[in-house]
Amino acid sequence: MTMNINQSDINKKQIDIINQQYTEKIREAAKRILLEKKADVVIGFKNGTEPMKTEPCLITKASDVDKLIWNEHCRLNLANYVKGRKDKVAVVAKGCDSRNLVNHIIEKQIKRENLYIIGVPCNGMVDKFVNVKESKVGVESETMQKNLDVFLIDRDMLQDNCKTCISRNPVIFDEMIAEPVKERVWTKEEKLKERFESVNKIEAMAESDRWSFFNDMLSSCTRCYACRNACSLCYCPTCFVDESRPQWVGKGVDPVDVRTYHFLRAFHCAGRCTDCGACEAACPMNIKVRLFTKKLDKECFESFGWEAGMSLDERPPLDVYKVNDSENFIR
Amino acid sequence: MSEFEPKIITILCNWCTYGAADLAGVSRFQYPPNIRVIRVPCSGRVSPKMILSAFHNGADGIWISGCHPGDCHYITGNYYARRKFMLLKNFLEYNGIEQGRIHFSWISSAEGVKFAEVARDVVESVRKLGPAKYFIKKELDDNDLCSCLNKSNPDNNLAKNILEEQAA
Repeated sequence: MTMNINQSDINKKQIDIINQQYTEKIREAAKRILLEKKADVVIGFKNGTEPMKTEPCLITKASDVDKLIWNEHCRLNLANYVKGRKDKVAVVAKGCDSRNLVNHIIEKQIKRENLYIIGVPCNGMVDKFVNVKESKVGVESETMQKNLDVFLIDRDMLQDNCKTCISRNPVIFDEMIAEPVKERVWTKEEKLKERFESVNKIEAMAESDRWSFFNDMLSSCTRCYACRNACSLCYCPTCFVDESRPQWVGKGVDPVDVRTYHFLRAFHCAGRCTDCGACEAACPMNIKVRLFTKKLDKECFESFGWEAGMSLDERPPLDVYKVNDSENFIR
Repeated sequence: MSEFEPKIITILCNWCTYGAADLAGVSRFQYPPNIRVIRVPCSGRVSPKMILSAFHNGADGIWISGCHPGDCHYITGNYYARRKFMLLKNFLEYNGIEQGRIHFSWISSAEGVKFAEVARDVVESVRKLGPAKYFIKKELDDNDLCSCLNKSNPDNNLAKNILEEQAA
C-alpha cells in the first residue's frame, strides 16, 4: 500500500512535544484575541473529567486561557458551538472543523467577519475506544495516564475518518498556530476505493443482508441523540424527531423508528457532511453511524464531484442543479 | 389463494402528473386501481420523511411523478427534486429496500397515455416483489403491553388495571 503520510513514524514523545507547543500557541492566541477584543469568546478544548477525554470550552476572560489544551483526543467538532451566535467568536479549528465553518458561512449560520479562526494543523485523532483497550477498566486514572507512555499515533489507533482525511490543515483560517502538516495527495480512484471502503463493502452485500446488517448494527442504539447533538450540521429550530403534527418518527427504540431516525438524520447531512467523525466519537454505544452519512458522501462525490466545506464559493449539491443531471432512473 | 394486490402511494405534482391522471380518467384509459394519489404543489416538495412514513403506514410501493424538467410551474422545482430523488433512491437501496419499490417519472398533463402505462408498470413491478418487508411499523397489541408490564407477575397490578380499563 502506498501511503504518503506514515503516522506510525510519529512516536509518543513527538506527539507530546507537538501537543505542548500547540497548547501554548493556542493559549497565547486566545489571550491576544481576547485582550485585543478581536473576539468576545474563544471556543477551544479543555481537559475532560476523565483522562483521555476532552470537553469543549468557552473562554471569555483572558485570565482563563490556561484552561485551553490541545491533544490527540480533541475529537469533537467545535464548529458545532458557533452556529447562530451573534457575537464575535474565535474558534480553535482543525481541518474538519474549518470545513464545517465553511458550511456554516455558506448556510448563513454565521458571518465570516464575526469569525476568527485559530487554525490547527491536525495530526489525527485517536479512536476513543483504543484508549479503553489500552487501559484496564477500573484502574485509577493516574495509572491510566501512565499507560499512555507506550502510546503512538499508529494508523490502527486513529479514528476511522482520520485515516482517510483529505484536509488535515484548515481550509480557512485567520492565523495558524504551527506550520501546516503534509497533506496526502489523492487521486479520484484512490478516494473512491479507500475513503469509501466501508460503503463499498456494504454495497457488495445482497439487499436483504444489508437490511439485517444495519438492523444488527443499530440494535444497541438507545436514541440518546448524541450523534445529532455532536453534529455541527444539525440546527433546525425543530428537529424532525420532535415534530408531532405529523409525527414522522416514533420516540422509542422500536427498530423501525431507530432505522427511520438514522436514515433521516443521515439524509439531512447529504452533501454537507465533512466526515469529521464527531457523531461516532460521541456515540456511547460505539455504533458506526458514519456508514450512513458516508454513503451519501460517496453519491455526492461520484455524481457531483462534491466534497463538503472545501470552498466558500461553491454551493452545496442539493442547493444547485444542472440541466443535464443524470435522470436514467426516472421514466 | 387470491393474488396479492399491492398498495401504492402515489405522489403527484399538481400541475403536470395530476393533470395527466385526470386526463387518463376522462379519456377512459385503463390502469390498475392500486394507486392512492396524494397531490403536492411540486415534486420538489417531496421529502424523504414522506416516503418512510408511507412505508410505516403500510404502503408496498411508492411512485413519485412531476413535470418534465424545464416545464416546472415553479421554474426549477423539479431540477432540485431530481438530485434529491437520486440520493434518496440510492440511499433506500443501500439500506436494503428492493429495487422496484420506489419509482419516479416525469409525466406532463397531456400524457394521459403515459400515465396509464407507467401506472401499470409500477403496479406490476411492486406486485412481483410482494408485500413490503421493511420499514413497517408494528402496531402494539395486548401481548406487547403485557410483556412490557410483565403481566405474568401476579403482583403487577398496573398491567391488570390498564388492561381492565381498556376492556371497560
